[in-house]
Amino acid sequence: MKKVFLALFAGTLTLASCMNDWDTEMVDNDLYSAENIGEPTTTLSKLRKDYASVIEGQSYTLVNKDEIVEGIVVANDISGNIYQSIFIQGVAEDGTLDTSEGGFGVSIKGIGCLYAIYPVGQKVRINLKDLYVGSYGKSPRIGMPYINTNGAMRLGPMTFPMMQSHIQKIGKPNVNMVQAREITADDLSANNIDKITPMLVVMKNVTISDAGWPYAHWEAGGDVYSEYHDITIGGVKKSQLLYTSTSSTFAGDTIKPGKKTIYGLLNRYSSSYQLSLRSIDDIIELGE
Amino acid sequence: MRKGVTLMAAALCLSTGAFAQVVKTDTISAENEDFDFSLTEGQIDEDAEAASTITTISSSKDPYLSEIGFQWSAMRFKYRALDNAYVGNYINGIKFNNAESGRFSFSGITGGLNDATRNKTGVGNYEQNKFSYSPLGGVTDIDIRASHYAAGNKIGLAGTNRNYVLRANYTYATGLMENGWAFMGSVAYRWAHQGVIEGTFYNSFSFMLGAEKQFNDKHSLSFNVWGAPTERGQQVAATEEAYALAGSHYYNAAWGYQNGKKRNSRVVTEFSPSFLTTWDWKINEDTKLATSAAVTFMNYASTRLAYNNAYNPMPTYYKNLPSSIFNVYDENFNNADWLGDNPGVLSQWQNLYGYWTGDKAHRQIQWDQLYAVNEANNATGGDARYYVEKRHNNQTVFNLSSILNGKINKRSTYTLGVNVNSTKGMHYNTMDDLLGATTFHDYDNYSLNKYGSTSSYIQNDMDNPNRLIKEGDKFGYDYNIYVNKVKGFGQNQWQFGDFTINYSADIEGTWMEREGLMRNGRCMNYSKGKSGVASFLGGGGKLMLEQKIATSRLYVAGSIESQAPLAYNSFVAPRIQNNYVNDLKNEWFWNVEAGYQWYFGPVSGKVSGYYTKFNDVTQQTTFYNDDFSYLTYLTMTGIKQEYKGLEAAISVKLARNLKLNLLGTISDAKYTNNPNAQLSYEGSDPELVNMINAFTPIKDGTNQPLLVFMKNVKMDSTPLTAASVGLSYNINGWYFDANLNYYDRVYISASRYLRLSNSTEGGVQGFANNILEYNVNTGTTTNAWAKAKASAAEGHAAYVYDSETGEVLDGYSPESEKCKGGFMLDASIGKSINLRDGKRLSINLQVQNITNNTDMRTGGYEQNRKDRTYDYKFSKNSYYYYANAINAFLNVSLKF
Repeated sequence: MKKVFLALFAGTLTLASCMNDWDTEMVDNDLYSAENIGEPTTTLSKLRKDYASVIEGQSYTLVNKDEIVEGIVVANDISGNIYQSIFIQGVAEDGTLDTSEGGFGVSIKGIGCLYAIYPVGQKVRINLKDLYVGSYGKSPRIGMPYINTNGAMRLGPMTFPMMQSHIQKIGKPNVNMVQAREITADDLSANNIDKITPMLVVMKNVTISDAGWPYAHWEAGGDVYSEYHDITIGGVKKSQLLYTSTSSTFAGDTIKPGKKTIYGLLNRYSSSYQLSLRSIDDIIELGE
Repeated sequence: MRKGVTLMAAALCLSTGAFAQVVKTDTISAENEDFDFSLTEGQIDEDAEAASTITTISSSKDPYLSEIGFQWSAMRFKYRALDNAYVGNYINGIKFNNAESGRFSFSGITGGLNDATRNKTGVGNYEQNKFSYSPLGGVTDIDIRASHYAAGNKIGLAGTNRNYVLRANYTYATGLMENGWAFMGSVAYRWAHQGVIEGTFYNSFSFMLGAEKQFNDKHSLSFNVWGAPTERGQQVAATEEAYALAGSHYYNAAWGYQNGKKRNSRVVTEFSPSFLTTWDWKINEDTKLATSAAVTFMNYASTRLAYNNAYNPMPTYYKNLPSSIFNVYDENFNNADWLGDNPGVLSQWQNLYGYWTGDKAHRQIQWDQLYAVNEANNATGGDARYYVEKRHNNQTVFNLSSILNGKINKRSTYTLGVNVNSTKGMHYNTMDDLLGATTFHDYDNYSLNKYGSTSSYIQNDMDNPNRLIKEGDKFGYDYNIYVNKVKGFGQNQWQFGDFTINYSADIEGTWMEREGLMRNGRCMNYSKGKSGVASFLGGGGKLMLEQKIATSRLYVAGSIESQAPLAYNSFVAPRIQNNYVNDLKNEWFWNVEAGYQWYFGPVSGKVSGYYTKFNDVTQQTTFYNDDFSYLTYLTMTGIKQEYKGLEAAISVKLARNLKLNLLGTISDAKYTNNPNAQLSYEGSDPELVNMINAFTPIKDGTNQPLLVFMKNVKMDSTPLTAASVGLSYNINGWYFDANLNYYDRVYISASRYLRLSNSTEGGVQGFANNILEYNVNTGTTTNAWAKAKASAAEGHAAYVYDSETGEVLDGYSPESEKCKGGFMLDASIGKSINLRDGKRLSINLQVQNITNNTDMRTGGYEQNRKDRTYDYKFSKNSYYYYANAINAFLNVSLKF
């Protein structure tokens, strides 16, 4: 009896669990893409026309048939300045990025760090069936409806599982394909706002007002979530154009004086233009 | 686990040559010696934070205390709702409660060593105590002198479906040999690749070695060393919605699949080796001096998945749940018509519901995703967005105790003692796993967007700004806490026939200090270096009067005690700054109780009642504020609490071998005032600190003391009502026990944050005392007090203030949630078989929760966020813990 027990006792010692060295585990990074969405059946440009009424009306409508659209990611949430969204622009006939017309925002929640899944230059195809097309502040948007803090129904983000089933990544990201359209002060007219937003743009030789001030000043206990600054383009001041969220990683960074080249997402809220830096790297200081 | 196996091999290789000519002594003969109830390891949640949940005092003289720890352990019963810090745990007369937190770590100090720690003396608060000045909740002393172990071998094997699934243990003792030496050794191993909760695991090796030399009949010296290196994966609480989606109250969100394998994010590693020596001096027949010294090196670390400007990776994050889509609790939205008009909302709810219920992997941590994010971020040169940090809470503890027991005359005994404790706590954070990321810099990412990348405010260590952190490096915070205590006490008992008077007193000095090892940018002038020593003098006294009446005893007792606040609660934001909380002072309490204990033939038992009042208690809660991305410290001072109740334990011998046992308590334990509050966010600068602590009931008026409205909030996570009826039967060496237990009035922990007097998060409202509202329809007038009470009844704390000064006159708190009561049935069966040559085989099977009641909540906590307007309701989604489902413990042991 004693020997039996000792043997069993010794046997339990061999059950010592081997703790994994997790670093050596291979991780599957090919994640979160739908498969076999199919070939595009429409374009972003056509989508803007087909759904112009809900876009203009700041409303939304359900897409109840297979409509597959393709676009290139030009902006994402890498710094937190753009929230729960990626922005895509169409592919021109010559295969380059279409900079003649604005694209769409695609809103997604439940995952965060969208830039890791949809980096700039990533081509995506979206099957719009069971998703909604409309706008947020008249900026074209693909997403799902939600109830905002005022109790109104608005177009907001789709859930993460919907993203997985509706959005397919096509190939590897090609940053070189992403060209920003140069914008002047004259371009920022009321007539143009429907056409050129949302779009990746570049503004050259510009200055930002409030040099020495943070991009988005955070106040203790304040209800400030964003801040606007003027941008002077070619001597023409465009008021309250540069938008920065207090949640962005560069919100506390100080605006430097002098001329700059600024890249960013040119968007709109209703009849106002908004320029959002994708990250602080969108600012190229010219030192003048 | 290699370290554990190596240690055990070393233990087994102890020289057996010293075990010569064993003199077999059997100094221990407890009735149930062979039956391993393994209460302290098999049934407790060994999370250090939950060490407050169990009562293990087992006083053999007190039929109530001797039963409740075991009977009600499934519901994590706390004796009189008292925190574990009010229960003393001693070994050879040395107090092993943690000097910083006050609590005793069962898993860290004595885990797995059931056989080695079997020689226990448990006493209640007022019972004669020969080794300590008992705290309010009673005290246990474990005797580990080698000569006090029964000579021989004992080997045991156990299988169970609890935190671990397999246990093996071996104990050997020589007993006191003719040459005056005695040796003992005990080893145990507990293991589970996966425990009863999915995603948990358990690896623990325990050992104890002891030697004692009796020089003569007056002096003996003993020495023990023990420890239990342990690694285990934990579980976390979840909301009822998450449990429902997972289809189980035992859903655990702490783990996820990584490339197909289960990986737990909350792993505890601990090893606290202790070295203890005891010198016993029998001065004369009636006088004994026992002096012990001990050193413990506590190593405790727990991992946690952390994120940096990224999406919360916990699967139970509210945005992942279907009820985050719309307000499912509002019939204006949750009806067929509205959802029919808004199919997009319904489809999102269904989509998330289907995602959660469709695949187990979906409701666990997405490790692969976290790696994917980090690896994509590497390309941008950015820091890890997700990582696993390891929080270390180590200590070096020195203890000294000297206890003198003697007799004044044949009617009077006394105990005098002195205890010294010196503790250095070392607290720091290390990078455990970068999850595929290549860089991480030591600055506070959540301060980055507020102060900018060039601001010194964001630095965690200004002397090493933006330090690049590799796996294993310290980062974030690094500080020491020093606690020194010196206590003297005395006890005297007099017997005058059947009347006994027992009185005792103590005096204790406490000194504490923080030493910061990093200069934090948000507290640059008061983070690095020493805080300065805070000193406290405490003490008190007790008196018990007892009258024996035939075979019964009647007693009344009372005590008053003042004691230092715990170091754990005494610093505003201990990870980053040296400041003490405001108004830090001793807490004090007084207690009265009375009881009657009897032995009347076949009926024996005890009934008692108690009342305890606490004043000036200091408590600190720490939580992560998702809304503002801050670690938040909320300290309450000046707390008043009240504890009262009735207890009963009755045993009726129905037949020679059959006993009926009844056990029960009805109690109340609550806060009785609205204490002062002090709030700190870890990422905050002094301006923000001032702002969040400001409280001006009158706009632009005088700042008033910040309060937490806690009045009448109940103590949480223990049944305030508990009852058992059971049968015990023994025949021919067989033991049968069955107990039906009823538990009720378990409250979850109330959110202090939402009850802050200035809390906009909590929707706290103030009403000027001079308001009167007249309702023309009903003809009734409502004053400020009625309005405040109505607000509290609706779930928002409220207060009445003086319209001229702003002073708070009264404050009202919403009730915390009471969990539904219920029954649990437990049983055990065992047999002891005498074999040849003095060997004995013991078999015991315990089954707990036989009816598999999976709906018994043991506790939980409210969330600290305000409801979102039209979707997620935090107030409807508290986090809960549940008692285990049906579980069994089969133990077979052989003594030879």
